[in-house]
Amino acid sequence: MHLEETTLQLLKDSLQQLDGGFAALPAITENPAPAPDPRLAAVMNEVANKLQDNYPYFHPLYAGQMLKPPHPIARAAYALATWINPNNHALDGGRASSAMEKEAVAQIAAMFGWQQHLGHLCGGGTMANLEALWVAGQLNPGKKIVASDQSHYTHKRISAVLQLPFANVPSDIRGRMDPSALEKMLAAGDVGCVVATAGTTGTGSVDPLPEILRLRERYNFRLHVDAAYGGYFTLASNLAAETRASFDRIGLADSIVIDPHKHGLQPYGCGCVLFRDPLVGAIYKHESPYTYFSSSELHLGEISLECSRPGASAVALWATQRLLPLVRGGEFAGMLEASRDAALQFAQRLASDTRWMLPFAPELDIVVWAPRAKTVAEISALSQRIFAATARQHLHLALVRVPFRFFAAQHNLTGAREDTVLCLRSVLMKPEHRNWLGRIWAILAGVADGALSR
Amino acid sequence: MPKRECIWIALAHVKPRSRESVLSKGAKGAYVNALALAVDAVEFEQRVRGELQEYSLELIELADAGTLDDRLETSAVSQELIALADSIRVSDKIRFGIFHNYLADEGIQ
Repeated sequence: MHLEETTLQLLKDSLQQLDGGFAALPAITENPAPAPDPRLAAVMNEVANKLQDNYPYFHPLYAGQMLKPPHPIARAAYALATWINPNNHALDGGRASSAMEKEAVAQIAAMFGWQQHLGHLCGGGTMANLEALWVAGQLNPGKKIVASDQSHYTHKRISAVLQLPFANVPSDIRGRMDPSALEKMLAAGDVGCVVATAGTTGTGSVDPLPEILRLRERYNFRLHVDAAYGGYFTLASNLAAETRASFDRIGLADSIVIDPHKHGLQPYGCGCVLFRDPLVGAIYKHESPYTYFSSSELHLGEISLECSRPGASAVALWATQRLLPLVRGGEFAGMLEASRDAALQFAQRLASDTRWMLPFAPELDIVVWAPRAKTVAEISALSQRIFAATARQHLHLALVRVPFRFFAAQHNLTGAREDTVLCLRSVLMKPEHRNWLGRIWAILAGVADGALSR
Repeated sequence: MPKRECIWIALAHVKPRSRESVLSKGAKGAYVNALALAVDAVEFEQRVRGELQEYSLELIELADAGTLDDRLETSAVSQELIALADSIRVSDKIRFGIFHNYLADEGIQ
């Protein structure tokens, strides 16, 4: 059995414990779960068969996109919560899960050094970034949002939704925001918010926060850090000095987005937005005409744009952080360090093999590389061929399109600045990846220049 | 119809049987691409396993075994392995690519 089964026993035991809390209730005569119905099993078998049509995200040979299953504790806690199905829109909808959300979110804020904050969970990074940019727009109406040309495309789209002007800041040859280009834009005086990315989803590049913060001293702008993918790496002890310098300054931002459903071991549907100044809560102010009158305490529905939100997400996150606290040197930090180490070792192998081109060392756990060739067309075609060839041996990589200039400078290639090239990409986000590098490398070596010559 | 002998290829996971194995010092195991002439998968595995014993290596797994022709048809094979295949046609020896060692015990197998 490749898929973990720990969750099943955990769930069974904890379900009994949960049930005990409602023992005083009269029995439900119309049992909602009657005797085993063979139709349920038939449908579930059908579901299982349909789900086989997926890449094996749980397996270390899946080294493609930013995908992995949640930790068993998160899976069990999430499933357990669905027996109650709390809604964290308001305290009435989920007292326990609302308290768990506040506690878990405060722990994430503390990871960035914030002892006080305003924040909550969201459906994901997109919703979380939407809220952060909405607040930025409310505080600096009509002013421009700027983000690196390697930032997630969501920022441009969100700005359009919010009807705020948006511009891309050029990036350097390592995919990081170019501070001198940013300064030229700031000098125009119409920038209200700079979005810095702590780990781009394409190449894992980290925008230089020390330089961006120096510019904030000269130009008054709001700083939002999109750490959806990379944020948890602040706990890792094996970052390069430059990267560490940026992570150590994330807490100086006005708002932060981090996705527990990426590196936080959670099921999908768990993003998080944090504001340094709790007073931004006033921007969310609204009055609900119905239901939630049982408490005068500020509830989560009053500080989020999303109304109904799954309490189960909060329960899963709380349980995970209870088991694996967000501390440097802890077990969770060790997992991130293993992923980062895997990326470094993999990059080292690529750099020492003439069949491959590495544009730059990985800053986190994403490695981008390309088969050695001279032109954009050749590199792109070969990348596609290798992607397909390794998949046939169960090694699943990803393809990413990046500026050709990332490779051109390092490998003495010529091409236009605006050219992009399709190359290979691996997100080595499972700690097990480190132990599987030998196998991954052997598969890659077995197809390498064979793909080039065919 | 008798089976036709052809070149087979697979990824072998090996572990040292003794300190005298060919793996680098301290290696807990290695992955290596293996090629040999065989009439079917069973014979291919027997030949690879036997040859590895000569190197004091134990075969743990032979993954993705298939004929070289099929592999070339559907995938890609590196120049290193193509050269080994050419030498097999001349000598009928079992050939291995570079041994990719690992130092720590593998987590999931």
